[in-house]
Amino acid sequence: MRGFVCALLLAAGAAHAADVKPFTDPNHNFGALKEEVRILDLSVLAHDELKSRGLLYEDDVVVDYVRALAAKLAPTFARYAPPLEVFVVRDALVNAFALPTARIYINLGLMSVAESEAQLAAVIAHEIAHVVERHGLKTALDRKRKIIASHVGDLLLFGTGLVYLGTAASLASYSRGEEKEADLKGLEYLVNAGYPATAMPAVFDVFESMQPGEGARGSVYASHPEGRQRIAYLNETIASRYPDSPAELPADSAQYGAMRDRVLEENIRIRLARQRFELTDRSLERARRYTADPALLEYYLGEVRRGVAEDPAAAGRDRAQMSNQPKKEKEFTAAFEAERTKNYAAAVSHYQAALGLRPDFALAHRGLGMVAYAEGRDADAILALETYLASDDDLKDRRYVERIVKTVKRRAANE
Amino acid sequence: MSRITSGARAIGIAVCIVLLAACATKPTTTAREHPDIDTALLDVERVVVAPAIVSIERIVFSGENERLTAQEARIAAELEAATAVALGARGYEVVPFDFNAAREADADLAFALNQVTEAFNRVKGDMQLGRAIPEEKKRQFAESLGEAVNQVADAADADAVVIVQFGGFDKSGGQQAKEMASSILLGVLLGSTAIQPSEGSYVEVALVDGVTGNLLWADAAGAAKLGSELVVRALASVPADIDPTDPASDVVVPDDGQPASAPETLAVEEAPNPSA
Repeated sequence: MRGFVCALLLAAGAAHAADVKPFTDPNHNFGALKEEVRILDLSVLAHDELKSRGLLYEDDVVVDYVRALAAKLAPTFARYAPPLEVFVVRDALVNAFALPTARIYINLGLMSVAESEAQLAAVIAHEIAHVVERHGLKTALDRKRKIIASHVGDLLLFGTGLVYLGTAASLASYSRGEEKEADLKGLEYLVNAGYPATAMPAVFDVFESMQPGEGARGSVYASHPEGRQRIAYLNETIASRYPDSPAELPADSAQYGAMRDRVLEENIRIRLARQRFELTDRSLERARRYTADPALLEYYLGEVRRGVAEDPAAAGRDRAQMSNQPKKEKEFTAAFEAERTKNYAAAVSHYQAALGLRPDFALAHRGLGMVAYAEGRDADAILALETYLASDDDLKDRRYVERIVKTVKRRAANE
Repeated sequence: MSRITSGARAIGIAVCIVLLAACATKPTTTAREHPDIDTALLDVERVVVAPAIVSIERIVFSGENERLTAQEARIAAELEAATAVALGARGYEVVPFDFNAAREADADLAFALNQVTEAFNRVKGDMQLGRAIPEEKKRQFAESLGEAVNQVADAADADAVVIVQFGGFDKSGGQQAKEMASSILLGVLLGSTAIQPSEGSYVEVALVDGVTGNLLWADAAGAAKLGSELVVRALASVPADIDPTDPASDVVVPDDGQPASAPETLAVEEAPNPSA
């Protein structure tokens, strides 16, 4: 009778999440279910979209490091399971996700807030657990039965520049039970690789202390009410299962330090380009703890102040978002407009501080020139911008800066 | 009850008449222009059309909507071609450039393109792109997409970059049947009914100065139909190129029956709502 029922279920194609075996099990049957083929296709689509938008970060120092870390943490996959692959996403949002293709994506934003190699390892271990346990497929099968609407996010997100989040979120959103399983399995991988188990609650504690806007909304890596409960059960699990796990974090490797410096700088650049001035300040605060190049920090502090002075409306919008006071956007904008001169002066003092630390720092000359241009100090603008242009033949923004110089010269000639 | 209803209806009709009268006396447009557009166009000769960003979904009864990737690719190619033709007709030299190959070889260029798109999506909200405004207010939008545009324009050796974004949907037979049944039920209960469109699309186009990053011109259009031809309507208001050697430019704008700006263009609020 039981066999008959099973046969009937199989014939009807009624696959259940409970039947899905992890990739460590030789009977995983990867790709056997129609539903899995469907979500694999969608995963490839999401990956291609990330790639075509230049969102897959290609810096070898960073990518190789993360891949080596993942290889150290991952359990042995059974034969015919897909290989585990790790990618770094050029996005300043604090987020990470795993797709059913066994591909893990870690945002630069998340890498920049992790305070140690062990904390970054904890996040990667959590994502590896999602892959190994095939939570993407299990969720898809559950969703199929419950007829939950999905992908609506794609259209809602259309036009935000973060379209990939729609597809990715629908493929990488898991139940509370699956999240807990990923935490516990991840903890196991972390300890097996020689890292202290406490790194996992510690990194979740970091996420809880983040400012609004730093994490992707709805992501498990954003601050939310269940975060504290999660830290509590992780601590309980560590006390019961891993009492001997060292409490002290091991010293970070030299490779980690080199990787972190690059990640922090790229994160600052992305946030500046998106005019997220307050978040950039936050990134600079973090970078200050680690960086060996204070001139670079001074330069970026100058860029933030210049950005705020140049676009008070963007600064007002940013402040309104960060303080969760959308109705006050105009008020904030007016305040930034009133402080324009003060912000330009602050920018100049940061650029000068950068030049004091490193006299040949070309970007600081550029910054000084741009402020002088904005303030109508034509002779200063020409001098500083031409110094910048003379610093390197291969400047990416040569055409842009040359146009500014041309405009300033035209303006000076007319006066 | 019926008195209240007829009273409300009368007020509604009166409001519509007032609005229509206002529209009749004050020409409106969905176009947006930079205050310095005339000066900026003196430096614009060569333009490049960035890869169109297209998102099309089939809305299905189960909620597991399907992305129509083949249709996306086809419509993207059509949009890019139609945009190039329309700009060529307005006197611009359209630079052919294989962005797909270039961004495959250069992740930084791909990222710059993405930054341009993100910046456009930020400023279009500020500009309320798609909303009709009085014609005389269209040249009040001093927006910039930042320095990333420069990188894109440089790669193609162009003076300006054209951005095209398209969103569309259609509905499966099951979804249409469900909506039809809902409409009939509502009709029985309320005495009136509204049929939801079975497909729709929306397009936004922008011309961006490749050096300064200033958004020189933008417009949008929507329709209860899924097709790339919509872009021609959105492009109807694009200004003709200005020849720097001849300030009183002789560029001939083809008589395509479209006014310089398109007051009849469907505004955002009128575009079909895919999630309806």
